[in-house]
Amino acid sequence: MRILVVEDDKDVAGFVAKGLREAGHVVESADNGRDGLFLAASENFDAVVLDRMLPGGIDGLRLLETLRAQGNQTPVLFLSALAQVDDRVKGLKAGGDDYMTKPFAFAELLARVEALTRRGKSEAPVTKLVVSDLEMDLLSRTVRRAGQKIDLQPREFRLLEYLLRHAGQVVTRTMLLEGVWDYHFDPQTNVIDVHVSRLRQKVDKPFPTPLIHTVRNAGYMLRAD
Amino acid sequence: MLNIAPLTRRRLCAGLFATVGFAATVHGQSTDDMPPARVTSDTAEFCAQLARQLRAEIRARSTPEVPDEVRMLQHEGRRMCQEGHIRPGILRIRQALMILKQR
Amino acid sequence: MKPAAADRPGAAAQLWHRLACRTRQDLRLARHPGMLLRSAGVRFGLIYAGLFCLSALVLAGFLWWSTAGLLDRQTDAAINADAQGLLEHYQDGPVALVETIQDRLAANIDDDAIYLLADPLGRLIAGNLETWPSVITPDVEWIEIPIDRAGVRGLARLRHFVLPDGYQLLVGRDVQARARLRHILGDALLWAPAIVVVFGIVGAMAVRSLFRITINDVAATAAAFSRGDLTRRVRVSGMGDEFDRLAKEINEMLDRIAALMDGVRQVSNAIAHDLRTPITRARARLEDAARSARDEADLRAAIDRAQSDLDGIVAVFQALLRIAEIEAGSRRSAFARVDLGPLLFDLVELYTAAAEENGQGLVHDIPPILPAFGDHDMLQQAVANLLDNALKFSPPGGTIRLAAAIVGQTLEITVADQGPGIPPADRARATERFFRGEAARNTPGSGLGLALVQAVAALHGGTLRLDDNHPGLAAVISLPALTASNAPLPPA
Repeated sequence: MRILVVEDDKDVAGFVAKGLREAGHVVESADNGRDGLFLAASENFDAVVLDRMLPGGIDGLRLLETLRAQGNQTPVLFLSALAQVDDRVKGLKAGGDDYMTKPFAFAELLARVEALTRRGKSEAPVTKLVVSDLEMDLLSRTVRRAGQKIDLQPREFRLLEYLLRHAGQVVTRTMLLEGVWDYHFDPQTNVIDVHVSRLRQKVDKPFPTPLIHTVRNAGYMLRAD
Repeated sequence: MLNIAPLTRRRLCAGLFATVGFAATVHGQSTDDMPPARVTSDTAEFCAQLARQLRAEIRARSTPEVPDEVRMLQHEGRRMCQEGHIRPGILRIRQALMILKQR
Repeated sequence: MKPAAADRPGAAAQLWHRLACRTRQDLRLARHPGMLLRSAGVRFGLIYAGLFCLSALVLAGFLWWSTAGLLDRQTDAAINADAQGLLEHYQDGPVALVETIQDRLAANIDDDAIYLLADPLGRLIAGNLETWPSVITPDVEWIEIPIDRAGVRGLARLRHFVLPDGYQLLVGRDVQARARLRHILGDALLWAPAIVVVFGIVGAMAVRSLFRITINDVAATAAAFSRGDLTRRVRVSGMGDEFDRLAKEINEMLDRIAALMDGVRQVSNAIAHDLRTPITRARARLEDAARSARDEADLRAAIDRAQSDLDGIVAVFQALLRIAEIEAGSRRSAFARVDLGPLLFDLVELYTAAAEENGQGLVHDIPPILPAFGDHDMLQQAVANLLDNALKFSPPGGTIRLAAAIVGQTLEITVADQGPGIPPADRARATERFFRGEAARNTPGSGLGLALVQAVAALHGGTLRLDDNHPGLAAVISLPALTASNAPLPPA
């Protein structure tokens, strides 16, 4: 994927760019608002990582608003030291697709950026999610693997649905909490892990190949090996 | 708070002084440099004149028609005038005349 | 400060001395009237005195009009009526008029009629005045002259008629009573402003000292507070008037400022003390790794540990900032109607799995609909914190209970566990930032969980109560329930 990183802190920008390149993406970077806007508007990117506080007269919010006003729908992930809920809301209202605060774990950033691109691509509403021999029918709310029906509680269904929609991408615990439970903070206990392990009992254990993998220091990923 | 504009302040003071001044003027307005005119209906002569008038009225009527009250007032009136209480005496004689006139 | 009853003479002397000083001060001020007017109390008093004076004058004027004025009008009407009758008789000739005048004098029970008829030559032919008053010339119509009634000086009001054939007639009444009334009223009118002004000045001074006392008290309290004495408060007189309300509001504000500053101080202390520890530890581990790591694996492990140490520190900072943000109350404007039923059910569902993993039971007793007014995310985090604690401290085989109910006007959310609980002595301090009881000293956690729950409860106008669960801890969040009567309007 082509990713644009607009960040004025050289170290952070370098860190992010390097990490993204190592993950196999093509990265362009700008260190101020004006250049960032120019690049974003003139070239085609799959995603933009945008810092809120930028020098050069145009800050992150203005940049995004201008972009959206031009009809540019490139997914944007905000990266900001401003952590208050109001700032988050402002960022999302300006047209942002996701919002992360500094300091951040790179794995989380990577997972979310990749999730963004996936989000952008799907246009038609899907009725079925399929990975390998796992099938989820969204209309009848049923799950089958290798032809066998799997009984899931409603919450387990939603958890599996989230993993399926982000199949092949890293899904962090925070993303799961937000996406499945609408819960916006870090619990101290490992509540998510327990839910995922129960899901695995139902979805993976009776079958030869596991689909739900744990990604160390990051989260989970659903993929066919 | 409560800033009175200077103009309003002046107006209020002027009003106050004007009222007081007027009151003082009205108060002092008395024509007391004139010698007073004597009222002749406060004298013993007038009393006697009225008493004569009363006697004439009584004589003009027959005795039973004259109420005791009238005689009493006549008597009192005459006596008071004689003793120097002119105005009360004149009053009683007038009252007697009034009663007689009403009959 | 009331002087003790025992030393009354001394107290009286003190009072006089104070009064004398105050008066001397005021007299000095009176020499500069401009300065006096600068006092709001004096201006207020003067305006009041002025208005009072004005209304007194209006009242006096009305009084005059309705008493003396009435008498005047009545007298004039009587004179006019009398005169009219006499003039009609004159048409039958002057002799008829003379007889009429004599009749009227004989019938004048009120003893107040004055008549005088003079012929063209000036000879008096009827009436009860001795002489023709010299001031009454042919051009005079109405006049008041002094009269002598059996030696007593009086006043008469006369109307003068010049009749055809040259006769002159005076018809009038004795108005001594009215004159006396007018005199009395006139005196009062002159004295009243003087009295009112005196009262006004006294009142103004009283109002001014009242203002001064209150304002001085407030100013002194504010000055002392700004200089650092956070315990100073404005004095409340207990009369319940506007000054008391002002004093109460100011005191509440000062209480809040003191509480906030206390919070800041707590946080600074906590940061100084409790955060240095993990920072020091992280640094020490890195230093150790730099010195004694044998291979890349060791270094990687050290770096991983340092990462998680730093993450932990960041989490503490975030939590602190969050608590400070909540306590400052800035998020109240985002309050909305929240149904706590689904919120609590979701949390139960989230935590049930983890509880079962620990061998703990999670039971719930939640009504399906639980309306409240507040911030969904904050309440979620608060209850989650309590559940976190419950899971952390409950023993395997223990039961954790999440219950919610509306009790009267209050909505209560209870999270009860069967762990070691909090000893009564520590319960008051448990919600302090970074406080960790003895039992909790070795469990992971920053000690901020309960502080955050307390802050959220307070922001919602409620409380956090920590009770004994026999055994264990029952944490109860009480919030004002949303009833039809107290449902607030959504923020604009």
